[in-house]
Amino acid sequence: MSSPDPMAEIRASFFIECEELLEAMQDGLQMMDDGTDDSETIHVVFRAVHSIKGGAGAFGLEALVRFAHKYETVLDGVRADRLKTTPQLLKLFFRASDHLSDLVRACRDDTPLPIQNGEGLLEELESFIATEPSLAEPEPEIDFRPVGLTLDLDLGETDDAPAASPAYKIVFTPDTEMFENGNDAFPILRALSDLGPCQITCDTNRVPPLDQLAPETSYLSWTVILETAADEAEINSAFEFVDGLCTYSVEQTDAQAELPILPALVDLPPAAELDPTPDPDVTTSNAKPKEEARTPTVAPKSVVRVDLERIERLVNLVGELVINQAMLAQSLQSAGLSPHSDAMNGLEEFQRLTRDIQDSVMMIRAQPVKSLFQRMSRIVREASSAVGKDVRLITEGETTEVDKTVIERLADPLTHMIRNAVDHGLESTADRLAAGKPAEGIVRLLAAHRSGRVIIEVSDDGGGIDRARVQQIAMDKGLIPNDAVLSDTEIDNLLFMPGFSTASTVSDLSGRGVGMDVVRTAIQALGGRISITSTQGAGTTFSISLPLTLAVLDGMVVEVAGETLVLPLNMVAETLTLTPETLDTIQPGLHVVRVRDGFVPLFDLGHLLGYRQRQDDYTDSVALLITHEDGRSGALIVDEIQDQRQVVIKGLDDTFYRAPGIAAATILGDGQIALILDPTDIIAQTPDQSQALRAKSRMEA
Amino acid sequence: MSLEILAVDDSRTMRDMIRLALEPAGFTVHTADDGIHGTEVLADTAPDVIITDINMPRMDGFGFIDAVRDQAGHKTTPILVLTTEAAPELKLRARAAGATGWIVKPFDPAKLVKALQMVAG
Amino acid sequence: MPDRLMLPPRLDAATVTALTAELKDAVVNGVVRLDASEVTHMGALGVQALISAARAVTENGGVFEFTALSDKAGAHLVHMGLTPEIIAEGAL
Repeated sequence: MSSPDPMAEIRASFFIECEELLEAMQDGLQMMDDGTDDSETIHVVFRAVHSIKGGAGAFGLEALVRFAHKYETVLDGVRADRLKTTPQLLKLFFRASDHLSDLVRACRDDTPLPIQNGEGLLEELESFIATEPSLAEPEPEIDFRPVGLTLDLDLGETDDAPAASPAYKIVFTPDTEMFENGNDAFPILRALSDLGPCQITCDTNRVPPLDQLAPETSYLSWTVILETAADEAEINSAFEFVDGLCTYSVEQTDAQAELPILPALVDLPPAAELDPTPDPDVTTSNAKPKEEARTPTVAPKSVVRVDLERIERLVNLVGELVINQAMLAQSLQSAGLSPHSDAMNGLEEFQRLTRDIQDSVMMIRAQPVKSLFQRMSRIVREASSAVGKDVRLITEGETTEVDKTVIERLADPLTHMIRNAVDHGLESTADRLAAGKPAEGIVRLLAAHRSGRVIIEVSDDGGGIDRARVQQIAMDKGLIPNDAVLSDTEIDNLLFMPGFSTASTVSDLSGRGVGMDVVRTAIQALGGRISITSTQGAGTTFSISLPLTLAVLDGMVVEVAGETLVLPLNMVAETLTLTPETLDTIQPGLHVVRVRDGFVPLFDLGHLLGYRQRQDDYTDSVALLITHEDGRSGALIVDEIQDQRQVVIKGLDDTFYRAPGIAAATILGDGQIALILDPTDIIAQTPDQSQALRAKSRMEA
Repeated sequence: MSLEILAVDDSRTMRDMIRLALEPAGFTVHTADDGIHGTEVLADTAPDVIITDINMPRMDGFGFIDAVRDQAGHKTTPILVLTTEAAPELKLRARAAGATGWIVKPFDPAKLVKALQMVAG
Repeated sequence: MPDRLMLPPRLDAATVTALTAELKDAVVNGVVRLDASEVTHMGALGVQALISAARAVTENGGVFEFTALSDKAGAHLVHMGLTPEIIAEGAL
């Protein structure tokens, strides 16, 4: 290793490879658990753990090697049909996998190793090894050490071997078989001569006349007188590759006396006397083990690894291309070209290609949600054991591809939802049995592509939302008026209000002050929406709908005071035209609009963004109804709605002043730069007017 | 003297390590991801020594050694097996399959070079 | 030149049968001249065939010699306690 850099690089790439291996391992275990495994599955799991061990050894990660080795030993027992896969053993495998993942990550991040359950797991693995004598290792575990290459050829100190070095007489007779697998005599003799000064004599006595010579039969043998400081073990190591394929003897001798009078040809003692091989079977065993022969399975997908930065750059360039294309279209149109002209037709084709390129580029960033789902299966295991429920996670659509960043940012909200489903969604085992349900609760995690969006659903087969209780809690907490009449959907949506918790006891699991409101904020930040459906006694489903990518936004293009602005379409609940009948003023400066049976505060964008003075009369203006995650709503006043279209999001550099309410920017088809608004930020900035509004509602009622 | 090596291992890390150990020593290194891939690469190259892992998908090391030895041009091409364990049983199996020798993982680069030079003649 | 034999790069189990056949043909002429300039692997099986051939030629007063020898082949012979001369004399 000449420089440390390549090592660091390989180390980094080892940990990336580990993630892939861990995923393959999890997959395999899941298949075994589902009963969808085939004969290859256990081999895949075994190889994954085995490869992790191999790499870990190379980097001296001893704790990882130790654990992986134990785990692998038990897996090997299953692989060789010495152990049966009981549900109990599978559970142990799952937990061992979790621990292995922890170890890998701790090693990668150089954080302290998770020790606690590691020792316990090791003991459990040990117990399986112990019950199956054939798994018990011949040597004590401490003997599994990364030992490096066992071929010690370079230890001889030819130059400065002390004069008093002992001398050895080595007699070496290759078997015919020795030459069949690529070995030969001179490499071994050379390795011996590397150990010290020596005299080598070739015995050619047994070479028959040419017409009787069987070319592939071994007839030669050698006697070597070697003076060396090396011990017998080192001498023996020269024969390591051919041990059992030759006869050789090593004995200490008086070199000074023997060297000069060494007969050119020595009489060889009978081979049997010379054979130092501890196990005589060895030389005769030529059977080729076939147990590992397997039918080839699916060929691995060919993969190119690309620096993320390069992809980002490509995504950006394609974004520019889309914008440029739109600009070109606009200028051709304004030049008065007929829509049926060749140029316009060609442009249409250009537009289609551009879209295709954009989609393809986005696909580069896309990843299957599988890794995310695998993390969730671990969450289910941990959560269910924490609350003492028997839970099974069923996943669907693991191959659904989603933008990498979206996947990363979904992990937290999804974790929370899964915990909620296990903790709150599913009833206790006793309640389930009482309700005539199987003791084992089901949590289902689904991903799918639907009409250009990604749908992710978390559902449980629990008792459903107890709406009466939800409403009572909301009233007790002053979140809704005591006399509020709410539809089922409205009650369900109360779960998204900040600080709402339905658990009567704060469990270890979810009583952490994080509510579904945080989940909703996270989903909205990804340009997504979340909704609930619940059936009494049958369960609850949370459904998340996300855009395919973060780089493109479905936007509503509006005009305010001559400025063009873009709002995320998913935030706009509806559009309203303000009339004198629906407009009202509660107090000076607080204008509201009547929406069905309630009032929603109006926000004058032109004023709030500093484009112009506050208007006095909003009649005939257009307002966009925005629903904030905390249940507050607001209506943003704009002059005109121009268009709904996809825009390419251009992040604002950190050097820009972070203007409240501004999320990013985009470049429109005409080359104009437009700001992308964050409507919830605008609503949240203004003081809470709910008190006044509630008073108003009551007055009206 | 530049030796040409074919290294077959399903672990990218291990392939990288082998490359890193051998290229500075002047070896030309070809790699393959499993036994099947190994036989494909072998069709286009003439390695002086082959290094192969045992546990691999599609075609494992034993199968690969069989396939190599079945080719007229590679009856005696030295093959070193990469093993994680130094168990004598494993070495014997590797040899019975036609391997020339073995290297215990993780390996010391200098010794790997030495072993390759030794078996390459 | 029928009496000059080009040795293959590798003298081992894979090539020795063909080499032995060639040697048998060459021995008939009583003159065996070996070109070992391309040998990179002087294996023991090859060497014993050469020794046997050398004996066959020298017994009848023929000529057995190396006209060229690669460095590697020379080194390999030394490690086996041999030289081209010893082989040419039938290692007797």
